[in-house]
Amino acid sequence: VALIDLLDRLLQGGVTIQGDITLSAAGVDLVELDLRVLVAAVDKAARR
Amino acid sequence: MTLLLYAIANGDHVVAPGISGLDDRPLHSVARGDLAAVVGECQAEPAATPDVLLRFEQAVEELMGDRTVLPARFGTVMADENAAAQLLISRRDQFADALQRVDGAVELGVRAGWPNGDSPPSRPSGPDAGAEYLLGRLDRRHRARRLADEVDAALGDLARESSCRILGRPESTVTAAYLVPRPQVEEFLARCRSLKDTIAGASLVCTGPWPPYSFVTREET
Repeated sequence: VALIDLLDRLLQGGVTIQGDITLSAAGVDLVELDLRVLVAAVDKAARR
Repeated sequence: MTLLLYAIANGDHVVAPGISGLDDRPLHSVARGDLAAVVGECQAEPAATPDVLLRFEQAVEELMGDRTVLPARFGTVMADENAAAQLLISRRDQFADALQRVDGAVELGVRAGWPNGDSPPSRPSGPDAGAEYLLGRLDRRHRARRLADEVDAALGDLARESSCRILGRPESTVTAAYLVPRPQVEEFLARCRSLKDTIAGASLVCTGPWPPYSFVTREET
């Protein structure tokens, strides 16, 4: 399983305490950007 | 010590012995009315490292087994069992509706794109350079849309619901999630395999079955 698939679901989907509404900007590139930053951060952490 | 939420289930859901979560801590359910929250103890808010995320996912998949659960977003922590019970009471109708919505179904993910990269927009020069560049981008967007439509035409009828996003990355331009009733899963995967051969030049990755992460929240645009 690619990390992106896991991150996409576990951090963007699922039930939250705050509520069931997630905001998506047009094209959802913002979410994608967030994930990419996170993937990079996780990558770095793993290499340390 | 706080509680990490793994899933919401129907009230009669009993966590099978041996199912453990992060740090191998056993999971248990807190029931209120016709719902149950499956939780496990954890130290503060867990860090989202790949290993930890995989462990969480594995636990939720075990909980899913042959039943219906609503997976929790990773990192949903609560102070204690009272807080878990309060969550079930205050959101009872939403959770019950969502459980019905995903009942007997799993999520399958499809990523499609152009593995060798899409043709990058050329760098035109001259007086119309800006317009040409934008038209190039628009064209790529249209190609991505057509790819998404092709994928959906081949798989959509097997799913109860679907969601699709068009992203900027050439290698996974289209990211779709399908809510598929369990009896249709094999057929869905078989069609994915044959779809790979029919879409010229495109790559297709099918993942799952996942707990229905993409179908428990309502999206507002």
